[in-house]
Amino acid sequence: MSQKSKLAMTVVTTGEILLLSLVAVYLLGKVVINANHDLLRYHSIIGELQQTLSTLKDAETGQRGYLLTGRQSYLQPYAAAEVRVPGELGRLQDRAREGELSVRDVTRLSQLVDTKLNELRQTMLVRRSQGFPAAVAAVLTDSGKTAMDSIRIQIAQMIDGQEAAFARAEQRAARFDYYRNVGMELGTFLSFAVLAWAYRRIRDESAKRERAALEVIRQKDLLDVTLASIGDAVIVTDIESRITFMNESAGELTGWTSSQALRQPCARVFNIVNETSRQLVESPVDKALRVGTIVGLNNHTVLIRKDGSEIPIDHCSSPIKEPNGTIRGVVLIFRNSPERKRADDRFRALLESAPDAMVIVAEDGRILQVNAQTERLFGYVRAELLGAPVEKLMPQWLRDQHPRDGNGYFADSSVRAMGSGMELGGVRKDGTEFPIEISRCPLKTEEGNLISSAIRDITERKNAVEKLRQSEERFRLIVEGAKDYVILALDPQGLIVSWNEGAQRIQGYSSEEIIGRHFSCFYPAEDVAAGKPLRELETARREGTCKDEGWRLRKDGSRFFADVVITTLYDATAEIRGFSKVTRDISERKRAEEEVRALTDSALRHATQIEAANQDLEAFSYSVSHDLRAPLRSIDGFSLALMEDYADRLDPTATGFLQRIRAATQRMAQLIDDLLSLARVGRGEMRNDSVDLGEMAKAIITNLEKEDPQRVVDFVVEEGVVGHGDSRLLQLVLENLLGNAWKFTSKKPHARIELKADRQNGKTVYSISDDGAGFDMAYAEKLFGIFQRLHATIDFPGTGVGLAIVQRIIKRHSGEISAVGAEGKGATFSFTLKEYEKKQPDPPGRRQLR
Amino acid sequence: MKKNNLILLVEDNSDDEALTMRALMKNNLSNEIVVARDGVEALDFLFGEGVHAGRDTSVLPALVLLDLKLPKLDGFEVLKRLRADARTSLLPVVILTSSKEQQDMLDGYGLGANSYVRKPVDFQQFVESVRQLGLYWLVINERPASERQTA
Repeated sequence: MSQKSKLAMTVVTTGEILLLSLVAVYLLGKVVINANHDLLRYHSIIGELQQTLSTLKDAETGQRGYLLTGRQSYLQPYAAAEVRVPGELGRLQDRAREGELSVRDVTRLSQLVDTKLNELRQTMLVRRSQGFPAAVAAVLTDSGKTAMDSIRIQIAQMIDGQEAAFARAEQRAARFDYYRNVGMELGTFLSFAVLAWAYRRIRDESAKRERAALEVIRQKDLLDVTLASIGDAVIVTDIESRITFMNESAGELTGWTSSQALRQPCARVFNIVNETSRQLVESPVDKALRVGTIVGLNNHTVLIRKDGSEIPIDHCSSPIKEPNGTIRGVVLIFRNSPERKRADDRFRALLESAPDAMVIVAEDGRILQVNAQTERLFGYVRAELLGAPVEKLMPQWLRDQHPRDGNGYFADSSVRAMGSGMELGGVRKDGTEFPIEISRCPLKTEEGNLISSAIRDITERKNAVEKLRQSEERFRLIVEGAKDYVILALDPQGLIVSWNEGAQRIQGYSSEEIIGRHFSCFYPAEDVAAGKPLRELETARREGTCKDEGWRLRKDGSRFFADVVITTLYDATAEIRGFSKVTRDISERKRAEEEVRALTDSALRHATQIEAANQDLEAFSYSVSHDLRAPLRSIDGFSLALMEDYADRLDPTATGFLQRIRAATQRMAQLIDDLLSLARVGRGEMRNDSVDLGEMAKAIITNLEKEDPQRVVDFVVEEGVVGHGDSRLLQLVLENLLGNAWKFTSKKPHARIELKADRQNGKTVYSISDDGAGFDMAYAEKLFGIFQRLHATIDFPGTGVGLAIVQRIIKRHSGEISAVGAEGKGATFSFTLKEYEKKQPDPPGRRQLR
Repeated sequence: MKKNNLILLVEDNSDDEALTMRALMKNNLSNEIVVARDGVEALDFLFGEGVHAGRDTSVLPALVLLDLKLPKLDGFEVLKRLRADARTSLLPVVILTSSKEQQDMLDGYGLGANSYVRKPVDFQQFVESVRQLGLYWLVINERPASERQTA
């Protein structure tokens, strides 16, 4: 029984007791009051009776006075009594009628009173009419006295009766008063007793409750600590699914802090989806509230954490019930599912590592899972595909073709391997269609029957197959039509299996004659005897190909020189399927090659000779430079010594001869140097520099001016005259040409030398002009010959080698040189160099024209 | 340690020797000249071996005038051995030759020649060249003090 009801009962009980005792007291009180009322009545009645007696005595007193005196005045009391008696008697009669007095007593009293009153009146009448004596006589009869006595007795009796009743009533009243007091005391006592009992009860109850509350708190603490320290995540909600408790593990898994999560709807914090379908899952809390029982472990859910990341979890929830069955809330327990995660990871890794696009489809045709290859192949991102109908990946024609299937090619639940001819189409996000091949297998899972499909883009293969077909066709036509090549196929043993037109033309067999024969029939007998055909097959088998050049036989036995390539043919399993043999009659080429070889040999011999000659020249040059000069130095040195040491013994003629000797040695030395230069020009590597010929020319002219400072020469050079070639050799060219110009203008007081470049016939022509001695064009041919001079040494010194060097250098630059001039009118030397078009700057000539 | 002006002339051609001596004489440099007529003799002199065994090798020439075309050991070989020996590795060597070949110059400098002078055919020019050489190497050029003590 509850505390409250106990308290209520206590109060009610106490009230009842109090009420009962009050009612008893009241009733007893009422009895007592009635009793007292009776006592008063008895008292009144006694009074009234005594009054009546007294009235009658007054009347008698008056009568006697009158009788004695006869005076009227004594009649007064009598008259008053006579008036009062009826009223007093009437009151007594009323009481009798109400049962307060005995009717008989009152009636008797009334008669007695009437009798007395009559006696009184009689006597008085007698007195008045008969006088005193008569009246005395009447009185002496004692009738009056008797009547009066009877009244007295009667009243006394009646008073006695009343007094006895009074005494009785008084006794009764006293008794009820006692009862009343006792009743009140008893009620009070009982009430106190009940209150005391109730107080005790309530006090005990409170203590018990307090103890119980403490125990509850202790239990709750223990529960909290227990829940908090549980390794699994625990969330407790109230009946409205709002979170009232969340332990640390739950916080870690959901990513919510306990304070954030409190009072939040559970579904907000514990946000789960089906890992494959990605559909929202009914909150297990709501479900537990709905069904009222434990909602068991539900696999395949993924918790979406606050930060959006996902964790596969197992969870279970249970309603919190009071003993009477009232549901107070739900406790939800969940944990990371490491095994599942591992399994998932493995599964995912397996899925991702598959070379093909993998699509897992549910029975209803929704896509549950795809891998990265699928994303790549179809151009979707994963989120666009998950949960989408698989038709999304199918072209329209395929959807139309399988309308009854609904799920199309994915749904057929039979196992089908790749390459089993199921060539279908796929459609990318951008709408492009491509041929695919699918293999698939059904998966029985807790989520129902799934279909796992591997999809492969076979565009390339189809293209390749088509190309192969075309190429084979082309190839076949080429092979058959090739007239200059023997193209035939051998089986692994070397038997001929195909034959082309070229083979027939070159070797003379028709295809009927030759197919089925061994290819060694093409080899001369000595080669066959030496095992050459089989050796060549062996080489081809080992190395893939075998190449040979050698003599082969025609059908008529004649020989031709052949170039043969045997190539091993493999099938798809790398087994040798046979050989192809391509033979070409290269007899003609062989002859040509031999001729070429002969020529080459001769050229090589020639080159070797030239090389040897060059080396000789090298040695010769070195000797010349070194050894030929030494005697010259001696001649010059000792000539000078002679002139110096024996000057006093030499006459002027002798000194003049010695001067000539010395001059000759100088010329000889110059000649030697020039010849060496000429020899050197033809040797050595050519460099390819971009050379500013203008700058180079200016430097050369500056040197010439230093040697001959008294000369007046205008040197005009265009800006940006650039050429390509070996800068050292071009330096020699300019030195010689400018040196010549300088030399041949030496007779002029004011000379002019010009360097410029012009475009002529698409080539840059460099020219150096002077206004000096010039030359006779008749000898122009001789100009560049070695040792050729058109002027006397005495006029213009020189060795006649310079222009030969220039020409040789220009020729080495693939250029040409020419000279134009007239005697006394100056000369112009023009040359070209090999053009390097990309490097060529704007033609300077054009610039000049502007 | 006295500063010497000894010149080692390595020259096989007696005409050239005479002319060079004459040129040196004309420039008053002839009082301290040793002539070696081939490469071996030049090395023997420098290292106190062979015909020069027992020579006080602490006295090294202030300048070597080296011809390239020499009997037995040519000028390049002499130069190579000079430079390979700690005693003579810093010795001033001037190649004095008729050759104007690019390759000879490259080889000469490559082996550590200090100068390369081509003998002019004109003797007057030669005398001038020798004068300038003597002036430069014996007077203007400073030699390190330790040079002769490495022996």
